[in-house]
Amino acid sequence: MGNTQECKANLARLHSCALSTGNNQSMFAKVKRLFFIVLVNIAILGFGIVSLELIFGGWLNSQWLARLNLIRDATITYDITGLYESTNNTVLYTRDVHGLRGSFNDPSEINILTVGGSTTDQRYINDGETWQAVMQQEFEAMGKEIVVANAGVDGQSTFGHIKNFEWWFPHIPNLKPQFILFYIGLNDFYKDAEYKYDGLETKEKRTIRHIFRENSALYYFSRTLRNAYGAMFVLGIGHSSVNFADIEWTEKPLQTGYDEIMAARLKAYAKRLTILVNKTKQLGSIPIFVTQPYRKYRFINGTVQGIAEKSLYENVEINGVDYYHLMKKLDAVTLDNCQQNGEVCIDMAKDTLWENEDFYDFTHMTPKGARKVGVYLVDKLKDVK
Amino acid sequence: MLDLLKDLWAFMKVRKKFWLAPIIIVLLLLGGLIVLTQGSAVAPFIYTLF
Repeated sequence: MGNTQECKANLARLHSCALSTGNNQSMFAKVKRLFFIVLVNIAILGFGIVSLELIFGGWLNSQWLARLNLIRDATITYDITGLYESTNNTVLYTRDVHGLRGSFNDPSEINILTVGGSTTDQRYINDGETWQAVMQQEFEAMGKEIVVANAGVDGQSTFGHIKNFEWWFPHIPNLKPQFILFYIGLNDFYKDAEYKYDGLETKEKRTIRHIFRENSALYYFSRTLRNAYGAMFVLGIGHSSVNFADIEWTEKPLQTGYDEIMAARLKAYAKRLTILVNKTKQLGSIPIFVTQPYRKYRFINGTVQGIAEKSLYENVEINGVDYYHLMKKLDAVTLDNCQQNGEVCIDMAKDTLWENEDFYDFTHMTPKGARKVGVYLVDKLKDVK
Repeated sequence: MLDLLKDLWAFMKVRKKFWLAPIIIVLLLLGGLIVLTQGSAVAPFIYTLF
């Protein structure tokens, strides 16, 4: 009897032991399987990412211009219904094989190359009605054969302009403009002072991180989405239609310490302007700097009125009058830098000739506004040798 | 969109087809890059401050 009980206990222990070994084996198999799945997934993902980088990135293509958000060799018809009043509801937007907009056959013919953001690009203005086209027509009417080309890129600040000189302009054959006109200010007003779209310094200081940022398609992808979100949803500076009749205007600012608000930004901006001047001169051209008008403020009988609507800037609330004072600080840096270097400086922002009809939103101009800009600039530049 | 992703995840979990995950990720990236870099009809409406 006793032996039988002992024997049963031994059998139970043996069974338990066998089960435990079986469990261990099953656990090991599970871990092995999981490891295999993870490994295969990483391999597929790695292969996919490397393929995407090689196809879309700049690793094998030194002329990877997509990273500048350039449109090349394309004629696009845009529907402008609801943007501004026009007899025709569509506009033609043409960029040549080099990514330039304008009326010329070869880049060697270009006398004035205009560089800027969306207000230079003028995505929703017809090919023959941009301020560059107006300038060329006005010069022609004076009997001067001056070709004005458009190298504006939507959303580009001076960070992007500097990159144009590294990634874009050197690849345009025979490009040797007499003047490079920078129509700047607005995008730099919004771009973070700490923004690191560099190496802005020199090629010697380039690190692996810079090389990765310059060539990686996935970095470009994430930067584009991040910056597009910031521009369109946080800052609200994309293209839109504004009914100025509904705007409430005020003469009272919300802030006073503009120097403090702008200090870091102005210092960084001045540094970028110096780089731009140097790069322009290296290309054998003369820089022209033009400040931009902004419709968040206007001049009525010598008094500044700004939109009453408040927005956040550098963590403080501002209205349109504050915009005026802050933009004036930025424009002062543009003009100081320009005058110190003896360049051609045009303070168009201070002029009072702008009306509501010249703009379709706070930033971008209608064909009427573009015509005014073109005529104004020709008037200022007609005597420049 | 979120429902679609949830359904996809549930499908991969039930059918044990986890190898589909990296392929889906790569295809999404491919779509995004084509839109942004090849001058598609959508790209001009993306205003990127840079």
